[in-house]
Amino acid sequence: MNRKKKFFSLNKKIFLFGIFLSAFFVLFFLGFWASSRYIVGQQNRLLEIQHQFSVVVNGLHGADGSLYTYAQGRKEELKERCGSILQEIKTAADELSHYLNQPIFTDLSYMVEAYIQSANRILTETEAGTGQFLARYQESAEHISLMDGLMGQYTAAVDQDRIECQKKLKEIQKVTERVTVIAGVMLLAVCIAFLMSFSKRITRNLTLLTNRAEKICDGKWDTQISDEEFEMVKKDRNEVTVLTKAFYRMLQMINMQIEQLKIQKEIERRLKEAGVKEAKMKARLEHAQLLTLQSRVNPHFLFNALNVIGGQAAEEGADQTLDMIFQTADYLRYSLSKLDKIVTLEEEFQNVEDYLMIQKHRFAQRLNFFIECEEECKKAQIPSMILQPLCENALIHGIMPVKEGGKICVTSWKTGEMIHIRVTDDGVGFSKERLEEIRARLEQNEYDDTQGIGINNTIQRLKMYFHRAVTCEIESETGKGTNVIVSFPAQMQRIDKEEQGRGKIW
Amino acid sequence: MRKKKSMFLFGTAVMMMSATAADAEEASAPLRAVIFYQEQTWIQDINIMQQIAQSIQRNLEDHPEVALSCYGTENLSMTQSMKAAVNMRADVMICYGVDSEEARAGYKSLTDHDIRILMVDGDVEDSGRFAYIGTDNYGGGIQAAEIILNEKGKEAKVAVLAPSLGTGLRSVGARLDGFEAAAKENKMNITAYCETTYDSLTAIEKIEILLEENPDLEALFCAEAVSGQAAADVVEEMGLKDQMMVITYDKNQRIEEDLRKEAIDVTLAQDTEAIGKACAQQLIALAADRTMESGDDAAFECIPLTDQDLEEEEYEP
Repeated sequence: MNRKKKFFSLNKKIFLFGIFLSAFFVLFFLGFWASSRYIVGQQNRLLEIQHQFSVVVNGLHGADGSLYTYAQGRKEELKERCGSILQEIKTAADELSHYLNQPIFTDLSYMVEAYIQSANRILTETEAGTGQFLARYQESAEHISLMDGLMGQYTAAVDQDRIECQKKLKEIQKVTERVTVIAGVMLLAVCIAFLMSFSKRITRNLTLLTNRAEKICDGKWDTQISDEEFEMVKKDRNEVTVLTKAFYRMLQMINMQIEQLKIQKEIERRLKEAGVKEAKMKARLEHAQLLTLQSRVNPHFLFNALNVIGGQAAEEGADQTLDMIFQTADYLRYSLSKLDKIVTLEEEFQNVEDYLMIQKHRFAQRLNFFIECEEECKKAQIPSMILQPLCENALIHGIMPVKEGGKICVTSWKTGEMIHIRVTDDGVGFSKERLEEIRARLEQNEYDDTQGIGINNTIQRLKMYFHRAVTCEIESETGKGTNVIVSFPAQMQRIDKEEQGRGKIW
Repeated sequence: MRKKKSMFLFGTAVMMMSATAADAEEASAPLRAVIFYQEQTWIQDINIMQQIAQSIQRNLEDHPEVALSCYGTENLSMTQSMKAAVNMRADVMICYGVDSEEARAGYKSLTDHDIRILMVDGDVEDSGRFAYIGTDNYGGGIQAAEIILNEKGKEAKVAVLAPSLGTGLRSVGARLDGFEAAAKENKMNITAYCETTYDSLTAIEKIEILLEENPDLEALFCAEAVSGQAAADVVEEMGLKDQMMVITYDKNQRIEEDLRKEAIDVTLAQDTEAIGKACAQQLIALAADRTMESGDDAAFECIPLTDQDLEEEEYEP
């Protein structure tokens, strides 16, 4: 089980290293200071010992001379001088005993004291004038003689102490030098090791980050993080590793999101394909419906019958009848040959003219019509049998109910990319309710095959061909007539080229 | 009232502590002992007193309660050394026994100043000494006589060489007493006495005269080391090593060389190590109990050494 490492910030590491360095230097300098202080102290001690010893040695003889001189002259200043010398000797002897903790210097201190007592007796008796100076002087001289006899020993002891002390100081100096060198080398090694480790850890992670960032800049978003790299990052817990881990995590999340987006895109593509298929199927269905629709207006047997009748009329010399038959034949021919084809608007207008001429023969004065196709609209491509149903509606529902009859106008014009066809009649018109009904059917966009070819079917066919970019406006008023405007895109080239290859039906 | 009582108790405690500290300080002062020896290296590298001093020092190494001062001097007489000990206010003086008026005055001065005398290398029993720790010199004399007797037989002509007994050196005197007693008991043939001195050149001269006057001597009993070394020089120079048996006392570098050269046949060495150890023990005991009136005497036998007993290592003074 991996325990999560405690966060150890770089700042803390540097701080601790700084503390370690400071402590090291403090200890080092303390040690150095202590060592120096000891060495200086010992050297001072040596100097002091030499000084005190020389005070004792010189002082003894100095005091001896001063005592003799005082005894001769008895001058007060000499007495004081003797006293001060004796005091100096005593102090020096005591100091020696203190510095050199050896028994012989304790002995010397006592011997000096004995001599001082003897010397003081001389001073006292000289002052008193007892005449015992010589005896006392001999006494004191004996003391000095004794000390002189032993002075070699004291000198040797002082020298021995000095030699040992200097030896010790040399050793301390050597040890100090060695410790300094070793400490310096160790410190250097520790610093180098720390800096190398520290910088390596930081730069390693930064290098990892940089490499990943460079690959991302090159567009390689699918960069995988190896387990080895991730384990390496997991070793430390500091700012850089936290940043690195966050970066990797972000990268992983981005990779996941990219994968998710890919999956989503794939799903959308499949859905779109499904939709396209559905649309295609629907279009085919619509096409089949169109063909079925057009097949309802294709009476082959009527065309054949008309041919026979026409022949008969010609034989009987019925010219008017013959004209009617020709017009009817033209109409039927058009209907049969152009049934499922795309025709020009000019051809449609011609067909409508033939139809209205036929109807004119039937209704005579009750029917009047006006047809005009604008020049720039003539080449427009539309499915066949579009205008005729509109005119038929106008005739049946508009003109025929009126006793006096009426007029039908069929025109076309072009605005922008749209062709407009208007079929107007001045017949009976529709009521509001009926008009609303018709508009509603048009709005529902449904193909109603039970009502025959009507405006709804015409609009549906146009929409099938032009893919619903088709509009139909109906205006009507009772007693005033009806105005139907059909608009569709101006298609000057045929969309379905297969339609051109079909031959005539008959 | 309670406050006064507390103050009183506190004051008493402070006084007791001070007194205890003072007693402790006094009790902790080491026992100061001094020893003086002659440092005449041109005669012999190290003498008995110096050997004893060194042995005592070694045995006192881990005993700070005894402070031993060792003084090696060239010109300080025994009397002067005693005076020095008095001036030094020593607690103990370690010295050798000399039976002379001057020496006795010195011993008295020491005892008058409450300085205990630890006598080594010769005993003066009525000197007021604290203890005698040294060699059984009388027994050493007997040992020498027995050695000559065993080696040469009682008919051998023996000469006795010793410095003047007027010096009062008890070690020499005791040896002579022992030797003479043993010689008398065994009816040995002591044919000559030669009074040597502590000056080796003079001793050599006198021994040469002795040997010239007594060419049939077979053994020389030298009561101390200076006579023994001088005798060895003369015997070697005169080519009498095979004929003459030389027996002396003490062990030093010079005597060792003479043993190896067979100029000296036997030396009766003092067990300075044992003496030093015993002295050290006595001083330690005295340091622990400053009220001791007297110590334990100890007399060690001499150790006879021949060239075969010597080690391969060089003698280190």
